[in-house]
Amino acid sequence: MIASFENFQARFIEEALDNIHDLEKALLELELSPGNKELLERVFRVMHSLKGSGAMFGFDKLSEFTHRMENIYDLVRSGKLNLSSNMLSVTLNSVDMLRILLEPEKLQQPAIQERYKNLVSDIDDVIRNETFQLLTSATLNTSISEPEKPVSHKMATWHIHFYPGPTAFENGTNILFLIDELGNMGNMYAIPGYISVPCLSELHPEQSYIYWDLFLATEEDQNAIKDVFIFVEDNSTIGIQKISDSDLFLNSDFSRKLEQLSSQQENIGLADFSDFIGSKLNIESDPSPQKAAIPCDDDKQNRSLSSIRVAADKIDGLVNLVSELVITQERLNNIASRYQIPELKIVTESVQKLTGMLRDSAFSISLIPVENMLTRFQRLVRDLSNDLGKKIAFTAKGTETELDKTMIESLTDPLLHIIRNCIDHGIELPDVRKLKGKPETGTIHLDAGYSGANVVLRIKDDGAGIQTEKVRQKAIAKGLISEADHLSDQELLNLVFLPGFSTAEKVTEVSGRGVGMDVVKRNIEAIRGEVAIHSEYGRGTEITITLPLVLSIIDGLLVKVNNGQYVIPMSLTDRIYSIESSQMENNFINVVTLDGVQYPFFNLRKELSIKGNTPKKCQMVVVNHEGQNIAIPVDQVIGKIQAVLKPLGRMYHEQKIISAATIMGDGTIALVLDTNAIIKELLNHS
Amino acid sequence: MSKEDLSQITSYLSFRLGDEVFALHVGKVQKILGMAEITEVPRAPRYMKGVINLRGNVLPVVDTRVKFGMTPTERTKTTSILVIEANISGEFVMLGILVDAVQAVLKIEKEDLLPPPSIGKQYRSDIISNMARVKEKFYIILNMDTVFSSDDQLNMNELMKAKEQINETTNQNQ
Repeated sequence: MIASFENFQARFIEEALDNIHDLEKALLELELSPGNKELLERVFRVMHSLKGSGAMFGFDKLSEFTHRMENIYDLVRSGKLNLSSNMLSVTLNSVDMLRILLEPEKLQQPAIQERYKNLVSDIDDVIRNETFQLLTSATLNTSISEPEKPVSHKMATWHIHFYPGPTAFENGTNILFLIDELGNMGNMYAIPGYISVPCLSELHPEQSYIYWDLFLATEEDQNAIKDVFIFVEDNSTIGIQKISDSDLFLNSDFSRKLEQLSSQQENIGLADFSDFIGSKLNIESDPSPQKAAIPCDDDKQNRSLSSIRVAADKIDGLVNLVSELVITQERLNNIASRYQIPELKIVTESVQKLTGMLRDSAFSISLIPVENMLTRFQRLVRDLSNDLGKKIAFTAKGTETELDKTMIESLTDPLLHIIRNCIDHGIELPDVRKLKGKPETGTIHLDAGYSGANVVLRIKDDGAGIQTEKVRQKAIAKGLISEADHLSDQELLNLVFLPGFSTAEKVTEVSGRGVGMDVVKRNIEAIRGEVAIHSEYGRGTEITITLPLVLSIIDGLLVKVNNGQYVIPMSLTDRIYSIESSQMENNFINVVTLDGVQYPFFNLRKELSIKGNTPKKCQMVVVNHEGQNIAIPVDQVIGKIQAVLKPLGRMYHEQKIISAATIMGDGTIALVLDTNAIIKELLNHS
Repeated sequence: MSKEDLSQITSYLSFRLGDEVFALHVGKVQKILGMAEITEVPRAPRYMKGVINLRGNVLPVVDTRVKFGMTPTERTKTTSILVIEANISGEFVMLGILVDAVQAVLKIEKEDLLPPPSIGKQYRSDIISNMARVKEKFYIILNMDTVFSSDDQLNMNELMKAKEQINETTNQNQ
């Protein structure tokens, strides 16, 4: 692959989006613990790297804008400014702007330009106002505003040994810029080292050979110096040592010594400066200057070891291949059972075992923890509750629960909508809550966890809850039910999932745009999930989303009805009974007694208008869903298969009780029954 | 192939439904398959014939004759499945359409394409993307995106009326 500039740019954008996400997360955490120095460092670091790499890849606006943001946090970091809620709001808005700035063509739009201008002036205001406030409060009450650490850095002289590493040019870094940047910090004397430069015939033009010994007298601290090297620190050898607490350049002997050293062209060690270090010796005791001096680096390295970045389509490709392999495996099983060759059987079995393991590990690769969605939710809660003047805390549990990445993608929007509803309609204003005897701060809680073959997500708020009578009136007004209908409270609640239903008294900007819970329900059903609502008036609402663990391969029970092959998900199958078909005949209420227990049954032949006569004996497959058992009569149970689910697609979107199709080893197609939908249909009928 | 390249191509595939002949731009047709084993999917619209296994993928197949209000397709030697890609409300969907016979590849230059007729309110003229006359014969070039964007059944008779009408008007003009 040619490492073109465009490629680098695309990689930069990807990384920048990650960085921006990190930044957003750190900012939200920072709001919860404003004093946390580490978080502040993280915020600063991300901004700094955005600024630098942005400029490097031609995103000048981004770089410039980040620089402004950085100014704020520079002041905060140095203790000249206190973190305020207003400041965080402006920064978070700016974070959104950063995302826009990654698409320069968007900047042409006047609305965006306007927003950009406003944000820039907001940032300037923040710096001006907050510093002003701090100054005034400082003069009023000097004892309080004393920062924890003395911020005014004393002048010091540093020795910096910097070797960029042989591959430094590959990233497009201009090392001279770095040295210039250092030079801007104060008085500097640079001695380049050419010792390792080979003769011309051996010189590799794309490698860097030169190292520098830099002597810098500056008021900045060690962190500021380190920050200069932030992009090259991975491959470079960087040693930063303080050699004096004063500006040694004022000493003419020091300058002379430097000139002498630079003409010698030899390795420069601190010993050469023992004279100057002498009385004011203050070498920071760093056991290994390269690594330990940069603590943030450890974190980065650990991360790179434990995980790698892989393009999503590669994973999709892998999963597809595994699916194909599973299908081929079924074919192999077919052949092996036909010929009964012992050796073939042994190989087939071990291949089957390996395929199963490969399948499981391929799927585990595409699993993502729920946690990845959280930042967006926190952000939504923060912004929206501020806008509406509500106080809301967002908590989450079980966020390590993993879901298929395609599921996470299609879940984010429905969940955002649900949370938006909680904030807008659920949680009351602080004074209303006070009157009701609730704590002023409402909570929205997300609870994720496994339950059997499913993942269950619950979003719960302690807000006003839903008044079922109001739902009833509304449904009547909308013509969804009639005045005479008697519905239970739960049935009334379920009406909110109907298209065009929105209980908000007035349409707000936030929710109630007509697209409501019905869209949520539809989106969740599209990934074979289910959504349920539970609400107690005055106490709060809880929305439960149940999702299948994996989307694409299930263990299934292959059954036959007439000539058609059907698959029933194994995880939902309880047991199988063999009965005389006559037991089902002349049965108006569609109930069979099996082993002393009565089960309603779903006659596939009749319901799916399958042709052919019922055989004398048939099998009853008992399936369960949420504690309800029903029986499905089939002509014959063939056996267990691994079914690779293939969606039926847009043309069959009305199809409810067939969830997918699967291709059998012999190339024929079997239809996968959605037993949950069958149970629902059957029980609603009776 | 990019969109621009496709528009340069002036080839159209003609096929027969009953006694009528239609055409589709070759860029829309992905494959031509012989008749295959079709697995019926219950509780589907009547014109949805079922699904087939197309190289490990499940491909829905439409009984085009039923969609156009004719009698269901009967399997003959010439019955074929055209695999096409239709844009159904913004989503690209691969589907197979049953035809009684595939006929020929026609060359129709851009200037020979006639606009669809604008007649009758009850009749959906948007399913016709163009009309064309090749060697004194009229072809309806179908717009598959709109044909399959609704579950409605279409009416072949009205389609034929439209064809006759445009036939007459062009004859008068000449």
